[in-house]
Amino acid sequence: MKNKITFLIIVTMLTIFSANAQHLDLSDFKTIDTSRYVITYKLSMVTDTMNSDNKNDETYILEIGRNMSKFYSYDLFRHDSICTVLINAGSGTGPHFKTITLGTDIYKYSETMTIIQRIMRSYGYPIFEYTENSLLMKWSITNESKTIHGYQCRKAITSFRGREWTAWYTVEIPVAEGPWKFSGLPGLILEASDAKQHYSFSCTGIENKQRPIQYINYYYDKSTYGKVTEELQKFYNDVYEYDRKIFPDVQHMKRITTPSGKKETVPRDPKEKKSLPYNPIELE
Amino acid sequence: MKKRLFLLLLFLCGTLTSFSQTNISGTIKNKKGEPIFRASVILSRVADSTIVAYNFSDEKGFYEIATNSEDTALLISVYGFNVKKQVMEIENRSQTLDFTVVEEAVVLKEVSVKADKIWGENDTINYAVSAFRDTTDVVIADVLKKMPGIEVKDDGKVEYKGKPISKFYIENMDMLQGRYNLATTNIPAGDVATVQVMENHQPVKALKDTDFSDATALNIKLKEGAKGTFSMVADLGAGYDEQFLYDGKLAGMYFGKGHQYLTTLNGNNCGYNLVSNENITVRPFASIVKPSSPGIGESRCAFNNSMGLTFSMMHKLKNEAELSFNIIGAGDENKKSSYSHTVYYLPEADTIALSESMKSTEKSYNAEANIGYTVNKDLDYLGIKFILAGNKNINSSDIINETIINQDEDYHAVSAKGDIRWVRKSRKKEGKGIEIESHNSYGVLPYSMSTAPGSFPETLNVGNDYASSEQSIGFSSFESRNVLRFLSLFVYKRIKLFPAATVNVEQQQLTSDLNGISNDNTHIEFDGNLFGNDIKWLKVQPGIALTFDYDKRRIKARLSIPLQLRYISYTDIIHSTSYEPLKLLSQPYFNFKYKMNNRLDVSISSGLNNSTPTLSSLYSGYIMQNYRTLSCYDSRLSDRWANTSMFKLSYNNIMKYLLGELSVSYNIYRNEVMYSQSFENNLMVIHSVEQPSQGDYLSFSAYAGKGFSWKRLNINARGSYGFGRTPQLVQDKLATYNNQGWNVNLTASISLTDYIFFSNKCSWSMMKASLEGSGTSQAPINSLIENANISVVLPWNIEIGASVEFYHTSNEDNTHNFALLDCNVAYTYKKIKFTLNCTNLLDTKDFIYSYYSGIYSYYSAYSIRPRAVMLKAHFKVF
Repeated sequence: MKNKITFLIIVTMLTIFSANAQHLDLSDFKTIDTSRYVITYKLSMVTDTMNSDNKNDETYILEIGRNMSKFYSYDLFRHDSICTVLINAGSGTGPHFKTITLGTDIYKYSETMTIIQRIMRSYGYPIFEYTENSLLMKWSITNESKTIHGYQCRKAITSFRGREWTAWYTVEIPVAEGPWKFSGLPGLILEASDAKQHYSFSCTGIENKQRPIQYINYYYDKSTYGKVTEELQKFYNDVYEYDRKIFPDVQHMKRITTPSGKKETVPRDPKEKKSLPYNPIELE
Repeated sequence: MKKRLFLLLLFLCGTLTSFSQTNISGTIKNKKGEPIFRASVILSRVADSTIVAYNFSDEKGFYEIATNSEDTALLISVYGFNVKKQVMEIENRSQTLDFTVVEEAVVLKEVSVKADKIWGENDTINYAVSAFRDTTDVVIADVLKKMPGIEVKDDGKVEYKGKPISKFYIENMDMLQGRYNLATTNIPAGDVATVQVMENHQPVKALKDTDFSDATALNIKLKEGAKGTFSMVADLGAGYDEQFLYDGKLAGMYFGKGHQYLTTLNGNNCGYNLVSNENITVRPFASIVKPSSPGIGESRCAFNNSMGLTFSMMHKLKNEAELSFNIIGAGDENKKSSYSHTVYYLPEADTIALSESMKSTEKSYNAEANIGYTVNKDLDYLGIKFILAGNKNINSSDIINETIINQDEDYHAVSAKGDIRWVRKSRKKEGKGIEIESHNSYGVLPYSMSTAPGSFPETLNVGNDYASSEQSIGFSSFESRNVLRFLSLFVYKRIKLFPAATVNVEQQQLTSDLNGISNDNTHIEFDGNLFGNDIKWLKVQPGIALTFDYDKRRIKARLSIPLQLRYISYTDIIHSTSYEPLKLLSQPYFNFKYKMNNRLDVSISSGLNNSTPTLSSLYSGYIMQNYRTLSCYDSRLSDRWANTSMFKLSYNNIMKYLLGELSVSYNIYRNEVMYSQSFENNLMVIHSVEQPSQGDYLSFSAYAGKGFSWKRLNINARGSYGFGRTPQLVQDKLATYNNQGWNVNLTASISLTDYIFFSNKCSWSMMKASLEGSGTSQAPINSLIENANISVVLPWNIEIGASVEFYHTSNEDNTHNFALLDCNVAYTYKKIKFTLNCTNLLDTKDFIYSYYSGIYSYYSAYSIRPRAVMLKAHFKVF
């Protein structure tokens, strides 16, 4: 019996920590619009405020269609497509996602937006979906202007969920769109960053490109903004605790060197905590 | 009264409200009367179009916009997704405004910014060409120069972090087999998307996990549009200096999925020598005295006529095999002239002065064909390469002093090389396998030289003058190096053992004969015993080697312990001497590499090396090397041992475009014998003296390359300092010189604005030597070479550029400065780029170089090419 339990623990361990990576199956989708413009942004973010010189970059794509737009992580998309191909080809596993990600994909419609939020930890972790009003920000426009990639841009500022944001938008691109949850300015936002420079989006590509905009079907965990924020907080506060919440049987292991000099893998103390640096884009 | 007051208040309120807010509303519809949802409506000031208010239309096309602006008039604009922009000037008062808009697709000005100029993973670094290229760049070599860490030599060869690259791929195919400068100087910069640098590159897939490599390779990734199309680029130029000048080049290329072709046809008389003898394995034993190129570019001083033709192709065959084929042919005729004056300070205040004013004509032709076949699979590798190369050289050089001495030489070399490498890995047992490597080469070189009038009459012709001396030398050489290696035959934990068996064979034969022709045109036979050679040399070196590899994620180490039996057979038929020594030796080697993190690598290596003199320093019959040197070796076979150790710290921070390397190397050597030159009536005899000696050299070098986003500034800096001891025989006594040398190289390029580009190359060195124990030291020799380039892009497709080369040498109070100035104007008309070059604007005639070393002083003046103008056209033929 004991052996059986140990075996089960090992199997669970393998499933969680080495075998499967969490991913969206990109082969299951529905086409919701056709893009007119495809904008690429580079997101530069500080995840650890103790070490704010260390910035992580992520590439995001904004596909703008007639009725809606889709904003998604290109890094996650690449990961998902590799996993989709491998798993559909019969492989039981996909590669682990190693880079740091904001983990947020957004389908923005005229009234509301659907936000897909991931925690990139392992297979079996939930992928949240929640809905918000698509015009969340109250912008103040200013007279300041600058040129970005040959487009005349104007500055607008807003205070949003604990951060002071500055955005540069251009009326030369006549869509009230922008990266992430940003929208509602009379032109496309090409740059946006918060006052602490913890998060900054900058446009790296503009294309006139028509392609289908796809909504990826998945058994998302329907939630709300407040609940998702709470879950993220819990996860970053104690990863082990969160793992146990998802997989009650999980056993965390560690490598130790015994006094005799041998290396051994032993279970961790269940009271042991593992917290990760957390600097969310939305503070409130 | 009350009524009046009330009216006043009413009036005031009325004016106040009318000043406080203007409300404008209305509907936005298309021509069919359908409402436009989410159109933007902006109110802006007439004067500077500052936005004062904005809003969007709702589902019914209704909009509402309010402002507190006090301007009398405002601009209202309506636009949106697929809605053509409308702008109207309106009075600043509340009103209703309806719009009928035209729907049309707004086409945006596309932008593509590579998120990063440089990105990479593990051992591969990618450079986005678009981020480094500016409008003045024509071929890919121009862009490579500006990438951090990469340097391009004048001949188009590439160095990465100061070390030559080992392989050059185009779309992962190695077509040019080492002659890749054909690609760097011909592929248009605009056709390349990415340049990849692959560090620790192991070209043999089957050896990827088992064999660690320290080499760096470069891969060129082409833009989609440049693949699979045949294109031809032409460079045609004509000009004048004191004669008609021409410089032309045609390059045709095709880079497809399974095939690649590159063919070039070159010709010029502007100083560019197209002959290169990379694959000739035999070198002549003698060489006439002729102007040797000074330390400035060959093209500055060669008065030549050169033609070259190359053809390269590569085919991907079935079964992952690749077949490559190259043919190269070139010819060059060259005239040079120089004057030099050397004074040797001998003991007892004696001096020997040697003045030589010389003029030479050199003709050289080469031809080469090579064919390569490679199958590179995960578990199997087969590489076969066969090269046939030959050259023909006809040189003559006149020494003009009181009399004219005429020297002629004529020789041709033919080399054949065959290399085979075969790797087969076990399908069942991971990591195990077998490797066979065999490198073979054969070369012959018949050589003849004549000097007129006859040289060394006292020694050769009992003091009588005679018409000419004739030296002929025959040399042939065969070399074979073979290895059989078992891949990880034994594995213990993380240690793998690779046993190997090796056999090296070297067989050489030297014959020489010196004769004369008398003034009455009869043949004079010189003493064949003294002035002739017939020597056979055979060296066979079988051995075994044990190589231990340790590999643990970040640590890679290798220890190789070979054991060799060296057998040499030396037979001098004329002087009836022969010996057959047998010796057992070991030349162990050790290498350790630790990857501290993604950015920092540490490596340490050390090896012991044994060498013996070869036939070129063992012949015992006199050979006339040139009109003033007749030499032979009176020496025995001896051993030389050397140990080279190196410590290297290498740093890569791709995100910050920062590359660096720090290395310390120490070299120590020990010779059993030393050589001393002695002069006996102008004859030089080189004796070996049984005097063990030891020398060493410690050097430190640092390299840093940094690219900045700011104005595309790119800096590569390399510095080194070394010191050591060199033993020398002075008057048959052992003396040790302490040497010291500093060297700093700096290259930088910057785009000052979008239209002004500046690049600079600077090299400074200082050398110092002193005699140990004597306390006296020689004056240091300083030299500085500085090369600055500026180019400015003007409107109307015009670019102008100027460059200056400055050479400075100083030694005590002896200073020489020398400057060369060039300028050019380029104009692009449609797709043709015209360039007008003016070289050597100052019309400097001679390059002068001189220094004083304590033992001798040296002065030379070298004729360089005069001022020249040339008009060139560069265009894509198709």
